[in-house]
Amino acid sequence: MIEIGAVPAAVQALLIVIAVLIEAVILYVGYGYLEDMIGPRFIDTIENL
Amino acid sequence: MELLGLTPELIVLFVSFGFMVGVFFGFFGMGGSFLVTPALLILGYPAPVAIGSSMAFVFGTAVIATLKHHDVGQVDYKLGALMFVGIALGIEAGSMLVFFLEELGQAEAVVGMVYVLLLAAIGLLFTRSAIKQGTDDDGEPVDEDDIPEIAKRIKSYNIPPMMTLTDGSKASLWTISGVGGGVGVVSGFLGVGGGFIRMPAIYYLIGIPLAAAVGTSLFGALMSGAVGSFTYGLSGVIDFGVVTALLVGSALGARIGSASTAYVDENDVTIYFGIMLLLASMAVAFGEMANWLAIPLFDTISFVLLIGSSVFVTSIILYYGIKAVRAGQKTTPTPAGSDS
Repeated sequence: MIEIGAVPAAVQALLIVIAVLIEAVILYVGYGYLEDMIGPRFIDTIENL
Repeated sequence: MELLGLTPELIVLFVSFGFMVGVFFGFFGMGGSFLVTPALLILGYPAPVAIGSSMAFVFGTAVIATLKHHDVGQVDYKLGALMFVGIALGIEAGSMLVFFLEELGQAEAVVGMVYVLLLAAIGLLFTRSAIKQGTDDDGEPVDEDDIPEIAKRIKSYNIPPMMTLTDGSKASLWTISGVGGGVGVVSGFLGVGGGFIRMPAIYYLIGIPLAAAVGTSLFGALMSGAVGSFTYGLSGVIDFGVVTALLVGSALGARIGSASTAYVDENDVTIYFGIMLLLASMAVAFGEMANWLAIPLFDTISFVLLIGSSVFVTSIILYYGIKAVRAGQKTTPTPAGSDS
């Protein structure tokens, strides 16, 4: 487990919620970009296998 | 070398498991969370850590699904907001129960047993529905704007205060809070989004049309996840490394699972999903027996059953997907990842 240090428990809990939120948004945007970039080519590759 | 407190082996395991969970979530619209807590319990994480981390995972998954449904989903935000207090109180009660059982040294055993029953029940429902679907194809299409008789009857009892919902209908605040609170207790106790009970509860008890019930339930999962993460975060039991690794895998898996709905007929694979849940139930039962009887072999069987069945069903979905793409087939795409 990651120790955030001597911050109050409520702040620590809020930081976890915010960190997961940011992580989720980054993953959504990042994979979305990847899907747009390589998705059609990937489907073509499978079709022509 | 460790990253976010995890060894490379564990990172690979959690990212891969997250990927499989994401495929199920993207394809079936559920199955995201109720496999994570049992997996963490089987791996030896204490119940509060398993449940807290699963709640944070639910939150992340629900955020991703909400972003996905932003344009297409119908969400009754007013109802979602009204349910918030019930959800928050329910999660608090559920988590208090977990910590109370932890003090008694019974948390893993009780949560494990509840999971054995829950996974078996949902697995049976899926398997039964898949078998029924195979033998009975004359089912009438459901009108998404219609609400069931039981909801109409519940709505006819005007117990004040009555709230006007977005669709113009009215519902008692007691019913709304009861649904929110009941689902919240289950979420807080098991670390699940609770979509498999919240969505039917919103549809059958509050009487929201099906399409809006799915979206509103998703919004509820987001709130459950946020409140649950905060509640368990207060006790410092969320393993952020586990949550991150799972989310990295699940966000990718959900996209692939969701894309597969355009190619694979859900009825072809539902039975495998049902069987997988039954095997997951057995896996948790073996994990519990390994603790009680101190037989390490049961732990191995438990792990192999859970991971093996997940790998099998993921492979089936991908296999059908690739086969359909190569054959140039396309089914009617459905908005997947609808709930956890």
